[in-house]
Amino acid sequence: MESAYLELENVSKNFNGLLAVDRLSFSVAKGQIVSIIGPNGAGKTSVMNLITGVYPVTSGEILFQGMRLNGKEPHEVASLGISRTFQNVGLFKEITVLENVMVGLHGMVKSGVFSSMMGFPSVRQGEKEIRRKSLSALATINLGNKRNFLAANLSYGDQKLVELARAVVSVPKLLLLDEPGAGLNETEKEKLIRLILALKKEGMAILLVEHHMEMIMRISDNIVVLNFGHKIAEGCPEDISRNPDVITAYLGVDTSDAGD
Amino acid sequence: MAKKAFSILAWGLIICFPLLFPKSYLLSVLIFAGIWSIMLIGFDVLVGYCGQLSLGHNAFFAIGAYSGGILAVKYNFHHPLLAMAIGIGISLILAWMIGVPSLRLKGYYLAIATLGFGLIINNIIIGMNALTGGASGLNFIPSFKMAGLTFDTDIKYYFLVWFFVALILVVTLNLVKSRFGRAFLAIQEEETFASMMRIPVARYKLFAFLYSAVCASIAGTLYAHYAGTITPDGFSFMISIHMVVMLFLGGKGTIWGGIIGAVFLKLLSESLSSFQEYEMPLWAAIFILVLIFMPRGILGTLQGAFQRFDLRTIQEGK
Repeated sequence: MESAYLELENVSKNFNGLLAVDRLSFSVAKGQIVSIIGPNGAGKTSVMNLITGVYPVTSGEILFQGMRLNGKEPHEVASLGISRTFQNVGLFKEITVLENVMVGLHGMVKSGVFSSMMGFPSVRQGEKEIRRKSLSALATINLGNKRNFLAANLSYGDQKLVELARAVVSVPKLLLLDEPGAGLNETEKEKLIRLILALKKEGMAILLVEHHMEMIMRISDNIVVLNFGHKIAEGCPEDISRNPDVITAYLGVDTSDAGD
Repeated sequence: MAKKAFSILAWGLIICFPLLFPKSYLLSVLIFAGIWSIMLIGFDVLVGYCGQLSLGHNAFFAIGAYSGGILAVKYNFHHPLLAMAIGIGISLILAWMIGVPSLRLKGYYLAIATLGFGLIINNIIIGMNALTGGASGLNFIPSFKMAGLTFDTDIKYYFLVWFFVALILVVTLNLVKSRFGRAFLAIQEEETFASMMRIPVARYKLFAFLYSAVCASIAGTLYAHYAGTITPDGFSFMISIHMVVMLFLGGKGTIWGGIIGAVFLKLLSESLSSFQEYEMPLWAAIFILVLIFMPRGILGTLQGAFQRFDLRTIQEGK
């Protein structure tokens, strides 16, 4: 368990009687890709929301580099070097592509409101840096030519790429991806896989929630399988693909000998 | 490029107008338009950028006005800038007190909560008879003076007010062009996403609330020293309604839109002064028409027209 970036210890979440997450434990190490899979409603996105502080945990601990995450506000969690993408593309549709990526670097600069209001040189320097890094990130995903488009006017696939660029422009230590492959065609999925593997190489810890089994199998170091909020299996791709409980959960075939 | 030209043209007009027409009664109208502009520049940061609607900012306008009025008339303290500072201080404290709980509410509920606050403050002002003159208000508020100059004529007051407008405009434009402007827009669109960008949403919403309160307070002090007489009637909930209509008409989220809305509607109400009794339905009609036909306001719609020749809004593949 050395250099475990993210650790969940017996995390549970109860939504007024609905047990969305049930005593979940797993960890993500530096430079490791861990995927969470499971049928719809298994609690995958809830896990993301618990880690990022959108909901408080009912019980259990979430640790990041040894520090407690549960109880922190989302912006505090983000400030520790954790970034996230959202299921239905969390871009700000009414501002441009470039402005979106620049928002990703909001925390990079420390200038306060008063310096900004006065237009001090340090503020202008900071803006230049933010702009430069954002343009560079856009160049990496080949969307530099669309930087002044309103985010709403991009294709779905391009929007997902911009959201990813925005999430990684601040070079986070832990990246949470919520169904990054959803709605992408084959070419776009390939591009995404290449990008995720490149980020892994740079030492980023990545936690992925996904439905596309092929993508999961190709890139995951470890897979956690959830069903009704409960972890029913964990292991490397080969083991998971052969696990009978996993197959049951997905196909609904009752292979256990429990009565009706 | 077009933006720079527009700014220069606008300021050129603003400066030249009184020099060309020094005796015009319109000077008075434009002085009031300038006072409203100060209020609206700050208000746009809260409403146009942060997306939080307050219907209680008439309270801060009143606090600024009564600070100037009370200190000058009741305490013989004729230092308008200091009075303005005191007004700002009181507005900040009250804005903090009402802002912290209210900003947890969204949309409709925030509007109602702030509306209630505005009504309460107005009532308190009426109730504090000895200090505020109650319903009859304060008279004989002396002219504004600053840096050894006394602003006792319309033309002098015109330049005083528009100097303040220029100052607040520059500072506000600096603010919204920085990372804070982007953060405000992010908050308006989706607070959850914004907080993952390390944006402390509650803190920034409160800042926008305080900032707009300060602007309203400054405007209030300038108003009191120009009008000479202030009564609680002049700081009613209608002020908040006018603020919203002016901002939406001019173009919310553009900062300049407040100035355009203020000038346009002040000129309009001046030329239709014979229709006083139809004031409320007229404002309502204007608001509804703007929302239906020109939701981005005058400036917003113009900007949209320019953008049609700009890559920003061209659809993929077209």
